[in-house]
Order: sequence, then structure tokens, then C-alpha cells
Amino acid sequence: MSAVIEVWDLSVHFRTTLGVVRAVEGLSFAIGEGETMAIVGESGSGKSTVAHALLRLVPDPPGKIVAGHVRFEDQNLLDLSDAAIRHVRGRRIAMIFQDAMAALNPVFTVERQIGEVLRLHLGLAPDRIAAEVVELLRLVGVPAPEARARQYPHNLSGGMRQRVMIAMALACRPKLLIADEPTTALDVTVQAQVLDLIQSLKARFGMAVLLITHDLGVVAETAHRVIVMYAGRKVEEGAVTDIFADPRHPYTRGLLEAAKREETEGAFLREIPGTVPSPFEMPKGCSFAPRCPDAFDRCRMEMPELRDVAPGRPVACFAAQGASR
Amino acid sequence: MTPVAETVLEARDLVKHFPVKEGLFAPARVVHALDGINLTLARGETLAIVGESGCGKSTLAKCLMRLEEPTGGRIVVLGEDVTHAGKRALRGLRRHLQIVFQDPYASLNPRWSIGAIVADPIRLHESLDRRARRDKVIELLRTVGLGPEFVERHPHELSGGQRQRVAIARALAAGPSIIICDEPVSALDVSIQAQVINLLKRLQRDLGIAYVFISHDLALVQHISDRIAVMYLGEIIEIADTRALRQRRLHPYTQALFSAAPVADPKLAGSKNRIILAGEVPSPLDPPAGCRFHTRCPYAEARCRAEAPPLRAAEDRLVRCHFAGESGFPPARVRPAREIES
Repeated sequence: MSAVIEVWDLSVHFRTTLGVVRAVEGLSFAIGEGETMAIVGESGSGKSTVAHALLRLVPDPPGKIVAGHVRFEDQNLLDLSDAAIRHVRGRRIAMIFQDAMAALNPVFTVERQIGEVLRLHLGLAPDRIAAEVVELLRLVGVPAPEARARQYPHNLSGGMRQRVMIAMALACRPKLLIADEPTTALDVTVQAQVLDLIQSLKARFGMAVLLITHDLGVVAETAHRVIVMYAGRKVEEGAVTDIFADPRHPYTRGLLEAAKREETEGAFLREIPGTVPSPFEMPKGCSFAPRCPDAFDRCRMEMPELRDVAPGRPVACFAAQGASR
Repeated sequence: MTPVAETVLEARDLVKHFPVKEGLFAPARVVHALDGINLTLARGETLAIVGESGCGKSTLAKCLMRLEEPTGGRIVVLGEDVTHAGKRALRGLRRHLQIVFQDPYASLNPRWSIGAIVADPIRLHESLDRRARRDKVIELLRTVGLGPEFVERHPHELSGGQRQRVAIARALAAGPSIIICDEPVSALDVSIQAQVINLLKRLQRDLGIAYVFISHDLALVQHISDRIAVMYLGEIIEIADTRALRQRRLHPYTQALFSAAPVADPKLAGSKNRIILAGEVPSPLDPPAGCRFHTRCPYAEARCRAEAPPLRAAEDRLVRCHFAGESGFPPARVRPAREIES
């Protein structure tokens, strides 16, 4: 499987009055054609910053992509001029967000917003735009697309707005769709509709998807591979089935245990003690060591590097074993 | 739950309507936030209220607390009708009935120290001298897993999980029998959620507090509650023991809701028989006639469009559906979810 996008050693820092926040440190990964890669992590893990960095949407200042190489269609996205990266954004790599209302312009109709994408990126003639917009809306399951096209974002429900944003993202048939918490703001029955839609469109157009989420349920149901991030670093990566069946990093284990709820009726939930360290007071060794049940002296002194404990299973933990525990 | 358990909280035919005026000459319309809610809560029990946005679950929390005035019906706390209790009586009521909100960033006064926040209800309900009050604050903070050093701190210095612990300590300060938890962990990270949930369970075990636990997280609700009430458009549509509901869901909406919740197990992801509902929750301004769920129900028939089903006993629970509990329902050959209607 050839990679659609390859990321090497990406580091993004934010300069603040309290010091430098290393939001993403030395992150590498690749997404294959038609593959769904999930990045899962809690708040402050850096997962959204990764999504923004790939499209060079990190606000500078205070943010800065300090290192890395992002290979997409034979070019390094981090080297491109502003004009060239604009050409990639929306056309070759599209992005959808948690908050569709913020992504849509409230004073333009749905037709005008989607039409703008078609005109700008595809150079579609004005007389063909209306028909194409209706076609896109129909594709994402918007009912009565002709009427909806003339409406404004505030006329639409949350699920409909999300569909309109997906229609916009798909307008140019991108190679890669970055979905940053696409269903977090939605109710569970609507979330099911939207995840279902993303899955079917992905299959239809052969897109690769980078899914940023905190929800392990969403990961289990939609992704092929998953990267677990903690405090700006990848701590584990692998096929979704492998990670869920046999997590090797203590943090991944803790997350999965904490998410197992129905099965622990009556009993107490497994908790991960403590909280994510402040970005200004990162521990010296492994950033998970203060919360880790398995930590020993070396973990508190030295940062563990990622190493393959099995083919395609990098884990950043001194204690992680090659064989299943 | 033994049937003799004492009822600490009861709602009878609770109704809350919000009038909305959309324009100067437009006729006033009514949001049907709650329509005839009946429920009871036993001492030391956890009753979960689940449903999607707009189902009325948060309005229910506010009405039970008398933070919203119900339009109709009764609220009984510890045997006392508090539906029309005045200011003084309300203060007494809040000794027994406390609330923890979703957003620990909005529910704590940013100018107050943690000590002052937790001491406030003590000042209101008990006459203790400064020293005794301070000791009690430290004791309460210890109960929720925070050290005495937190007394001097301010909310902005705390993480979300720590703030929610403070909110719980404040709720405990009055020594309540009932705490209404309105999405208490939704704003927290998964690893922190488990900490707060375990704290709530420990407090229930040690202090016998009953919870009304309002949440949209179905997995969590199944973990923490003894009974679950499912709401849709201002009505309870199914209420059952958690164990019974885990085994079988009788109402088509409950079935769809539980099947839609993503499960953190890729082995089940493919095999799960997911029911994807068409469309979205209709506006509570104009709830559909007949059964309120008929516009999205894959099994709706003519009767459902014409006649509103009552909440009736079916098997081991109450359910608001004409057909639920009948043999052969839902039909074996599921009709495909209809195309989404606007």
C-alpha cells in the first residue's frame, strides 16, 4: 500500500508568556491509500495541533512548526509557499471540524459557500455551479437539496450543518480528508448517521481519512490504524484490532480500561490517577511516569524512545514487552 | 432496589412549557420541554435520565431543583410538597437536594477561593464558628480527594477534574440526601471521568446519597445507575431497571439510541446491528401528533400517527409505545430506515 501522506519528525511549539509549549514533538506517521488513521488522545495531547500543522493552519505567532517534513503528492507541504499551500488546502486535502457553525459563513447561503469552493478550486462555470451544489448535497444525504441550497447555516440543524461542511470538503474530491472531532458536538443518533456517511463516501471516492478524536468508540468503529498521543508525543501505534486486543503502553491500557463501562457494573471503574502534566512542568523522563502503575526508576530519568515491539507496533515504553503480557 | 425503600424524591405529572414570541404579531408558541413526567427516586438509588439534546433532561433537572418554575405537576422531596415552596422553604429544601452541573468552569465563582466556595453552603445551613467551619471545609475537600492546600487556591488554578471535585464538595457541604448530577463528567477527559464517577459511587456507598444522573453517555449510565429513564421530546418513553434494559430494549427509540452509541471494541463493530434513524429530533415547538417518535420510527403505523400512546406497563418496565412488548414486535423483517425527510 503506497502512502498518501508521510509525516516525519513533526514538532510544533507555542511560545507563551509562561514558556514554550511543545504541543507536538517528533511525530512520524504515514497514511495509506483509502486508509482511515485515527489519532486519539485527551485534551492537551497535541492531536488537533497535528491536524492544523499538516495544512499549515497553526497560528504563527504564537505557534511555529519548528521541525518536520510532510510528504504529500511528491512535495513537502512545510516548504510550500503560502499560495501553493492554499492550492492544496480544500482541493487535495480537505478538513472538517467539530463546530460546523464556526466553519460556515453565517451571511452566505449554502449554495454560495459550496459554489465558492467549486469556482475557486475547480474553476467551474457559474451556470454549472447550482446543479453541482445540489448534486453534492444529495450525495451527503441532505433532504430537499434544492431548497436547502438557498438556506443559511442558521436555518440548519447541527447534523445538517455537518453534512453541508462535508459536502464542501468533498467538492474537489480530495485525496485526504482530515476530520477533527467531526461528531463530538452531535447527538448519538446523528453521530451514527454522520460516521456512516463518512465511511460510505470514503469507500466511494477512495479517500484516505485522518480522524482526530478523543472517543475510543468512534476509533473502534471507523479506523484501521490508530496513534495514541500523550503530552505531545506518540506513545503507541498499531492496527485498531491489535491495539484494542493487546495494548502495550500503560497509558493505552489505562484509557481502554477507563472506557470499559458496561462490563464493570457495580464495581468501580479503572482510573488513571492524577492528571496530564502541565506543559510548563514536564517531568524529566517519560511524561506518563507520574501516573503510570508500572513506572520504575529509569522511567523517571530518561524519555523512552519509540521502538517496535512487533512489526508495525511502535511503543514508547521501557516496560513494553515484545510478547503479549 | 427493595420495594420498601423510602422514596426521597418524586415528580408527578411534571409539565414545563416555555412560551416563545417570535415576532410582534406572531402568535405566541409554546416549547413543550416537559410533558407529564412521573418518576420516583429511592434513598441511596441512582436513577439515570438519558436522551438527546432537546429531550428535556436538563429542564427536568432545573425543575426538580426549583431553578425553573414548573408549569404544572408536583415535586415532593422527603415527603414534603415543594412545588410552590417560598424562598425560605426553598433554602431548607436545598439542604436535602443539591446539584452538580456539567461545566465546572462556569459553576464556580472565579473570584472566590476554594475554601470560600465550599464554606458558603455551610454558612447558610449551619451555625459554626470560623474554626469549625474551616475544619469542615478541609474535611469535605479530603472526602473528594483534595488536600488542605486547596483551601487557598482559586478555580483558575485547578484542572477540570479538580474543579468538579470542588463542585461535589460544595454539594456535599449541606449534607444532602439527593444530588442531581447534570452531565457531571461530560466536559472531562476519559481518564478523569473515571476518577469522578468512582468518587460519586464511593460517596453513595458511604453516605447513602441518591442521584438523579442526567447524561447522554449510555455506556456510563449503564455502569452507574440502578434504573434508567429514556426521554424523547419532553416525555419518558421507557423506564426500567438497568439490568433489564441492558438485556432488552422495548421501545424502538431506546433500541436505536443504544445501537447508535459507539462501542470501544473493534470486534463488535462489524457485528453490531446498528439501527440508523432517519432524520433528527423534531422541534419541541411542534411535537408531532400521536406518538412523538412516529416521524422517525421504522415501524410506525397509522395508529401511531393518530393516537398518543400512554406510558404503560410492559413486561418488567414502563414503556410508551402501542406495540412494545407484543410478541413479534419489532417485526423480524426490518423495513429499511426511510429516506430522510425534511
